[in-house]
Amino acid sequence: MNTARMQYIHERLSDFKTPTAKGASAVDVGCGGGLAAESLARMGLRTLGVDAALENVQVARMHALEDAALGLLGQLEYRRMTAEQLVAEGRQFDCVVSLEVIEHVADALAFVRSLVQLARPGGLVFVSTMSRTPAAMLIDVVVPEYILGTVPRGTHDHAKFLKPEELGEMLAAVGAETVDVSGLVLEPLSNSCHVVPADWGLLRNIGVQANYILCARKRKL
Amino acid sequence: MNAPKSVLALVRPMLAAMRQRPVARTFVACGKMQSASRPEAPDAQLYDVVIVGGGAAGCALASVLGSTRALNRLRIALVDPGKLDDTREWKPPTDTYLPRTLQITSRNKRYLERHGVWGQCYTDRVQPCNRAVVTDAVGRGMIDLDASPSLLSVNSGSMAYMIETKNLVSGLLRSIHCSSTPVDLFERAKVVQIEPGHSGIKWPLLTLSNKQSLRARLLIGADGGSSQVRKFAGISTYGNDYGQHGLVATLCLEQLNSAAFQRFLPTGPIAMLPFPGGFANLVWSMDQDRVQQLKALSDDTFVSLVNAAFRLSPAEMQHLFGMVHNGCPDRAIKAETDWRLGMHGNIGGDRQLLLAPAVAAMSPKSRMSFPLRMRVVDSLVAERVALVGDSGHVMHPLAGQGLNMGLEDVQCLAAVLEQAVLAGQDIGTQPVLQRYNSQRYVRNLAMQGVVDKIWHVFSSDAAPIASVRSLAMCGLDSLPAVKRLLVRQMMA
Repeated sequence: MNTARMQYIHERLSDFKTPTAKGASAVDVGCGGGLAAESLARMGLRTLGVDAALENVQVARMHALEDAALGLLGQLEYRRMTAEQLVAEGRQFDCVVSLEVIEHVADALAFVRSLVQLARPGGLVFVSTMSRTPAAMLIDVVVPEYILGTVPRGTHDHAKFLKPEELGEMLAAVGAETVDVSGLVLEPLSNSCHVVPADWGLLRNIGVQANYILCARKRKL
Repeated sequence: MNAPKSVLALVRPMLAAMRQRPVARTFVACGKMQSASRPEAPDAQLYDVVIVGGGAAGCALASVLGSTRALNRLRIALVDPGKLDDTREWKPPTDTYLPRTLQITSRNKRYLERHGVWGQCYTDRVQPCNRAVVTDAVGRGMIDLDASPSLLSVNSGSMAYMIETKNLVSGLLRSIHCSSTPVDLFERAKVVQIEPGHSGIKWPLLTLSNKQSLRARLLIGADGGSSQVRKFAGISTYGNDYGQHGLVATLCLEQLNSAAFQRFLPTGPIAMLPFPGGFANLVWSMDQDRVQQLKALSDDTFVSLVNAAFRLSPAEMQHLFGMVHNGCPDRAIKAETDWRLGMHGNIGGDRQLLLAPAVAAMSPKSRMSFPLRMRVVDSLVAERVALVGDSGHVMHPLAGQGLNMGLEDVQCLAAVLEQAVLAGQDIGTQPVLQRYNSQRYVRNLAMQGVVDKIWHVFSSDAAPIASVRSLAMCGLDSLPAVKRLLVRQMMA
């Protein structure tokens, strides 16, 4: 899934002519094991990965050692902190990324506000999560947690899932316009993930019934 | 089920202890990035891609990676023990063609054109070929694949292109020289040692004969059938030696020719591949001892034998080979051969067109030979290693497919790497490399299987096998629709 999300992010960054190879900056909020942060760093962005859990930050740092070139370029840094703490430091980034995090936070609006505050005016914010639909209940909760057992039970609370429109409204309220919403569809046979458009012909929002990724742009002043 | 459980109970704590990796923990606690050096390799240079082997496949990969925009931030190195700058500055001989040649399919030629390689070769020394006549000496089967009437449009080009190996490699080196992404060439440098990464730096370390050392995010084995990189990666290889060698030479024909001719003799196939100006390239497969004997003959005698191999019956060829084996003087062999050729005489009519053109002479000192083998691998990839070209597959030259499979490897790997780099992936990791392996492994294996089967089918001179295969050949030849499909397939 990470490959598909990274390809999506790369395409949107090029759409807005973000100079990925020439010192643009990025932050991954809730970086976990660092998979996405490493990919952003390899794309050329000066990346900061933050996570509230110390264990995650330690694992991410160790994994980063596997790539001999990353540390040398000074591209990648990890810190243990929350989004709010980072906002308090006053830093802003060209690209803010938060993948599969928002469905776990208590106050989604406050979280979205922090994400947008971390972006510089005109910068891009990427959020990926699951929609609150019956399809998502089946694909993201019932099958992995109760049938296959690949995810521990209780990891996801379907009631906290956000529909793309709801997320879009929150972003608009804090000063970011939605640029694009696309679905992330897993193909079980080839075990690959594809980015699909939200609408298919006359079927609106068919692509974003389960996992989706949203790209928003912070208003320039 | 009880016994295994107790074994597991013993083993588990041992495994857990091994996983502790105290060395790595120390690095994390220090909080600083270990420098890219070991005490033994203080100046190891880091590269994203290190290509070992500056042959056709290795240079093709370097050229394509160097000219792909999405990959312009990759650091690429090409390592070869030879003198690459000499090859790049190669000035072709004016009076002959080199005996080591390649047949490039239409699709691969277009790929090379798109990447600005074809234009860097001496194209006046390339022969487009639109017709292939394949005959069976024992069963008298024959296939005449003629693409000229079915050339779909002016732009679709020819079925195949004959090019000297050196011409292609020098063209590739010239295109590398002016590629948009610089490729660092390490020439006259043998790879002395390859060591795997360790807990500090996970990238493999190469030590070169010129004392330099390189670390590779992705190590490419393009170093041929006896690949050193493949051995390092621990990839097993299987196959058989056909017990035969390929004897090559440059021939001068009595007429201009642009068709390829191949005749299957029980002793091995003989092929004549067209080149401009009435030249042709000979590829004759036969047992090792016979190759040495034929190499020792005078040029004239050898030329007569070549003409004989395309015309006389297997029994007569056996007789002539016997004379060679018994050490008869060259003059006697030539006289016998010429007499038999004269008797064979004028058959006339349509069958005349199917005969390979007569050879008038051969380029002096152009006879060379190499062993023929088939090598299959377990996998084209390993930890931070990928194989392209002969290192991943060796096959009999009778179908001219060797480098074509190599160029398809290059195309596939370049596409996979481009996709991975755009998504910020580490190109040396298995999720990326498996995408390459899954696409190319089966395809290569299938082609090797086909070529090997063809060899086995045609190496028999048993009558029933001969009649069945000849029937099949003639049957195929009489189905124009199927032949057109075959041709279109080869030019796609």
